[in-house]
Amino acid sequence: MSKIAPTPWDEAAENPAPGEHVVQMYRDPELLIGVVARYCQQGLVKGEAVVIIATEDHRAAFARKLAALGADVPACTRRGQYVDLDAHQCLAEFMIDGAPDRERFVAAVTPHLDNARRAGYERIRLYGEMVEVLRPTAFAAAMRLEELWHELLEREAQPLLCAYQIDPLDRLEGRTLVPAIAQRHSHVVPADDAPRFARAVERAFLEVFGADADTTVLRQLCERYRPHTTTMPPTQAVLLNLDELNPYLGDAVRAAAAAYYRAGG
Amino acid sequence: MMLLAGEDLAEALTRERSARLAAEAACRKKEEFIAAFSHELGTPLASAIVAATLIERLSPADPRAVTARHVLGRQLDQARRLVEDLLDLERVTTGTLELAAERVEVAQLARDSVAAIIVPTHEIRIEASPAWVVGDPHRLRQIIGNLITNAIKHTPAGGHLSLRVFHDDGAVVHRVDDTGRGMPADLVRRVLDALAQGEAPGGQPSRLGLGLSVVRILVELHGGRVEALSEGLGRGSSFIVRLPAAPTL
Repeated sequence: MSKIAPTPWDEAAENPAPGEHVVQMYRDPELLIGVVARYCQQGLVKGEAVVIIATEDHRAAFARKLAALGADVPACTRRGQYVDLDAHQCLAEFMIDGAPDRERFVAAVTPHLDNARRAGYERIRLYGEMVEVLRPTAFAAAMRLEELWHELLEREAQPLLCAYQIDPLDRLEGRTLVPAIAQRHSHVVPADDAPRFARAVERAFLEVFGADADTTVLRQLCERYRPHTTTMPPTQAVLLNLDELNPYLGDAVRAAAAAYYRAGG
Repeated sequence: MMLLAGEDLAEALTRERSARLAAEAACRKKEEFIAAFSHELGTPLASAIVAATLIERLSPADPRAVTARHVLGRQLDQARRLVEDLLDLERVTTGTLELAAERVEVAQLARDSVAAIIVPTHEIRIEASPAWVVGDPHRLRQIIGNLITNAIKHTPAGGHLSLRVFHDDGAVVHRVDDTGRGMPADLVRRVLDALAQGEAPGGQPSRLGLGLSVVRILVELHGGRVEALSEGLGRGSSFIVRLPAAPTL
């Protein structure tokens, strides 16, 4: 059975435990700005360091949003508690022939963690979107980079939040990208609005399989069919497993769920 | 060729127009019926496909496979009933439905009908006093079966169903109550028609009232009547069938 997080899904993205590797999937970039800013703010408030590796636009937007949430970003930066790095520049440090190189990756990232520790911060929150920079043109490289992050997190015992602008209810992205991404994270937050996502999938399931008592039983069977090591909402586990059982019906549920999601869940 | 005078022509055109509108309406209703029937048949088949795949991929002793086997059986039976209902409606339309006229003890028949429906997800309570009607035992069983399966379908797992059979004012009454989703007032009025559709709570898809239409037709062919009751969404439903009691021997 999939592991079910006991807390609301935004909690998984905003307050990960050490070593956790959380992925937030989103459609609306504004949502991402809010999630990442709250993730950083929670860390700063708790006396943790924050290391952001993001695109130039996002770095500026995160800093603005953090300031709006009450954080003194310049002061945090001066004392080494808040570090924001350019995703493209970081990638250039360790990509060789279109693929991430393990040693260079470690050499590019760990000095920033060491600096934060030297500045007195044992707990460090990481946010990275280099994978999302790679994803549209080099998906395999992005997945390899996720694996390198995973190794690093195990050694460093620090949490990392990743983000992808993809839609689990889109036929192509839902069926191909989501399983690969989910497999490489400890927690999946599949949508901007997790309760709306859950409602949409549940309604779609009823539409495709009928609204009788067996449908509840069948949904539970789908959810438990293949155990996932990744923690995700039950409705996302149902979609992934249904794809394995019958991709045609998985597509039907996803299409109906997308319509319900657009209509508000 | 006969030429029509002005008033006759206007009348002929009006007749033609109303005939055309009626034909178009009938055509639309038929299209709606086909769409609704396809959806209604598609849902148990989709469930059966997934259940069959689970059975194929899991070990036979796996409790999930056992559950999937039950789901498969019930969903295929639901699909079969739906096709049977459709054929019955066709038989009524073409006047080829034949009913036997036997003295039938309906209390035992009700118990047997419910026993044939395996539903681990719901508790079904039966209270039946001995009662006799004149009718077709197969069709009487179908009436009860359709009412019970309709109640199961619209009552979430863990809900309660009851079937009572009793005498009332010269009639034998079959009353099915459930604690299910219930119906809004406008659906209560239409639910016994073949194309009655309603939306379940949460905006779940509309459905075809085929099984209940068959119940209404069969009950009327037995000289009885059927009534639907519900106090609204989320407040359960009741269906009351009144059949003429058989004369005492």
